[in-house]
Amino acid sequence: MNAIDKNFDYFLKNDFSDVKEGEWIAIYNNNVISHGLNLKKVIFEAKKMAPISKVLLSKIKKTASYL
Amino acid sequence: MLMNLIYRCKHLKLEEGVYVKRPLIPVTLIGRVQSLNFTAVLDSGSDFILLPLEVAESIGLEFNKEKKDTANTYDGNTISTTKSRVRIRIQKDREKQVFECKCAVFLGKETKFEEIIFGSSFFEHLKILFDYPHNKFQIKK
Repeated sequence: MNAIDKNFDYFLKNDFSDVKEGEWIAIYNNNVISHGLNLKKVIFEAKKMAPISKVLLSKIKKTASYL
Repeated sequence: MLMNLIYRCKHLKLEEGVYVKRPLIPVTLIGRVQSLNFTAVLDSGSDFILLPLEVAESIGLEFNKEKKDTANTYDGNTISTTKSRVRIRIQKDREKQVFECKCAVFLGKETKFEEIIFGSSFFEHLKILFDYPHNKFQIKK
């Protein structure tokens, strides 16, 4: 399993209850390595902890969507 | 090259005992500045790939903020966007494909509800089969 598949698998299995709706999260190696409302800051912090090419970024949703 | 990717839906808990399934995939957005991996929601009801402004800026996507388009949301409100093209890589296990797709960059004020939407300009490259009773969907080319 490559790094992105592994991070996506972790994303699917977790509800991130300790992260607020609307925050960006950066996932690497079965951990949330940074999170916050500002994407650039989340990426900046993630880069300190992991190769960004292997980090998965996602925005936390907790309410229903009608797109 | 043929591609056949099978994904599971993301279960989102709305309240106690109420879950919805969301068709999310991991994608790599390839920009001039950097390539970044994001989750994106599949939505055939949207006409284009829609990128929040901060996402477009973070990868260094080329777009013209002055060349605005108006788009409608489901409730009849309008939003400002600008058109561009984005390179996308999707991969799973050893399978990998790169596409260039039309996209719209959302120019409005950021809210907590924006997300990356993969609409028809992504779907037109692929066959996508939803199998929600079995909690999965398939992307084929």
